[in-house]
Amino acid sequence: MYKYPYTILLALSLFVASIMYVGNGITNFVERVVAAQLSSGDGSETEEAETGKPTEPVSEAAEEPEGTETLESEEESDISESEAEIAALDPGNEAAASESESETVTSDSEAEASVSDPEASVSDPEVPFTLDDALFVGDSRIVGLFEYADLGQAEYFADRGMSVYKIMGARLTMPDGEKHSLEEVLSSKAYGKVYVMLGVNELGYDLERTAEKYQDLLNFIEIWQPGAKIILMANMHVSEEKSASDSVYNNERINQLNGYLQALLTEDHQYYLDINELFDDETGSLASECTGDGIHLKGQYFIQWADWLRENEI
Amino acid sequence: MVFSSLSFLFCFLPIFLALYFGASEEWKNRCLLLGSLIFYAYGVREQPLYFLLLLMSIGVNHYVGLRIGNSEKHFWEKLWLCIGLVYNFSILLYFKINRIPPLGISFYTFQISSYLIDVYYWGKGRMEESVIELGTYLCMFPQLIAGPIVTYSTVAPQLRERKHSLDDIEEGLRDFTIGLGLKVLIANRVGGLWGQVNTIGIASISTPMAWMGLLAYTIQIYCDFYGYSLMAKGLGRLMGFHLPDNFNYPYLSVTMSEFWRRWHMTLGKWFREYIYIPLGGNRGGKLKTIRNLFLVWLLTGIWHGIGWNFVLWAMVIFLLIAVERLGLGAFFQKYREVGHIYMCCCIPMTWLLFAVEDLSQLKLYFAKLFPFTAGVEAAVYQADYLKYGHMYGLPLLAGLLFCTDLPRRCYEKMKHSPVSALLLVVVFWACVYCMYQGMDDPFLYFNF
Repeated sequence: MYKYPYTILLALSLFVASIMYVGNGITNFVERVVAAQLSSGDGSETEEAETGKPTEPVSEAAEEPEGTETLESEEESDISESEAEIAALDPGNEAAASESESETVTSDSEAEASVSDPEASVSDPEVPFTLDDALFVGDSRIVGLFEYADLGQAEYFADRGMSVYKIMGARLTMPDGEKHSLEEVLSSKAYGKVYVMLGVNELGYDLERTAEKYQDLLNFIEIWQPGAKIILMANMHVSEEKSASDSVYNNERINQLNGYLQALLTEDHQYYLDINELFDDETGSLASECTGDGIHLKGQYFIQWADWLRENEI
Repeated sequence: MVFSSLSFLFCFLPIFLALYFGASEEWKNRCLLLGSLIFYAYGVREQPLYFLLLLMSIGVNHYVGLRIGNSEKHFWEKLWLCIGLVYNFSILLYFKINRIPPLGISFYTFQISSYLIDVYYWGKGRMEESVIELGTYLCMFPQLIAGPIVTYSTVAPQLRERKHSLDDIEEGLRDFTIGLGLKVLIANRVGGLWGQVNTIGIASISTPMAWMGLLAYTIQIYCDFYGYSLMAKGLGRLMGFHLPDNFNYPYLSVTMSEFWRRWHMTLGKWFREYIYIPLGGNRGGKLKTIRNLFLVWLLTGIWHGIGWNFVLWAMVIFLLIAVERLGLGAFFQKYREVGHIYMCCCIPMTWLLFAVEDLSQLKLYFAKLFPFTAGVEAAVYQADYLKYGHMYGLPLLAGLLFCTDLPRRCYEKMKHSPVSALLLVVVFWACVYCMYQGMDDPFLYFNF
């Protein structure tokens, strides 16, 4: 027998793994049955089940082989912590939101135009437009923007794989060389503008839930940076080829998500910027010469993006 | 369905092996044929035509083989051989020109053509009456889609009679696991770095990044192909087949000629046996030898793909080999250290011709590698090599190590201790973990 140690060890490990796999399946099944009974049985539990429920499709989506991010429980708790924080910090938040609802209609319909419309812009004509007082929040696309284009004194809180689900728990290295959370960054100084581009890593999740998380992030920035203009940047399209071959990362979903994001804008110092006008081809996809992998811009095109940001004064 | 996928490892393979080992001796080949057809059909499920093409290839070549073998007159033998070869190669060429070759067609066309030529040269003795045996030879799944290219004469005796033993299973599983590790833990990881180069765009990479990317591609292409060949060999061994080796540490060569005797050995052997030697080999004087080499390399280039970069690639290798023949090779054989340095320059450079299909991009890449040659202006993140070196440093170093025969020599020493078995189990589950996390796909590995 000891002549075939690998065969035996491999067989053993496979055996153990399959037992664990089946056992895990049974546990999950039992848990689901119990949860279903609890939620249908008691009224007071319903609320808890409801708040707990939306996370369920999320973790399921994460298990899909589409390369979507797996939410770690640690981060999950971080997010809920900060959620609680938001609620504690800003009890009048909802009232404020409903108060400005009358403005929503106008700012929504003008959202696209507002960029170039001098009237909609609150900026003081005396002070020349600068990105030096800006903070950029985002994922790998923002990282690329800072790596390949010169944005002066602007700062960024961005990382590869960043998403609205992870951002509250994330700690990233900032210019001072130390790791900071978004809260620490936002509370450290008053920025003139906060640009946000997130959403592509969230495409595997339910879009409405992503929009809710986006709203939380927006509120969070509002609290810490009440004087700053907040600019939501539309998610950049993917290439036609990528869009056609991918059920998750496609332009239909990106446009849908962008629609949700645009609807989040409620205040007159919140703006929506659509970069796609710069890089789209005639099919409404990211032009193929601008991208190597169908999603990211090639290095040289980040310069055009930065120039475009400077042209579109806010 | 590639070998390094969860669906193959945990679905296809266990079911197939259970049926295969449960089947009686006479049913084993049929079981292998059926399993292989299912394997292929799944691989081309979006293009059912390709599946038909494989079936037709078996049918047509079986028939043509019988006609050649049973012909009394030389004229008919020759005519049928021509018909068979024209059929095989026109289909291959058609798909190569259209750049969407069906899965494995480059490999199975060469295999089945070798069968026809063998029957033509050696007569009835090499002919196969049974369409099942011929079909099993052609599409047995371990070597169907990526080689090694096995000639019918080497497999035929094993198809008719082979032994199944626990020794073979142990050896087969070991080879398979090592191959899987090379593919998943090294090639796919390192491939991510090459993917980064293309994501950033050649215009925007720094010079150190260009070198690092080229190194990554050089390691990836070797570990990927070697790993896959090793998996094929291991799978064959599980079923009692002894498939030939495809690689013999090619990166340790000192000349280009030696490199191509140690890289994709079964393809080189095919060209030697069926093109180079029939043309006269090196027996017709220097000029004829050079002509024969030229033809072989032109065809090798076309086999890899139709495009100017492949022609260029093949011609550069032809020139190097021709120059080596004229005396330079002997020099490198004598001063091996110089030969290694020469190879360290040549191998990555030839792979670059292979990897970058667009000629203007190729020019740009050379300008990035040697920034003194031409002014290169574009947005460049100067610290990119630090960032990606940090991300990919470990798999790069491991890849470099596995380009030598050092790991294999250590492994052979400790093969009989249970430690090696334990190590391989760890490798296996590490691969499964990476595949499960989607890290096996170089594209998925990095998030956005």
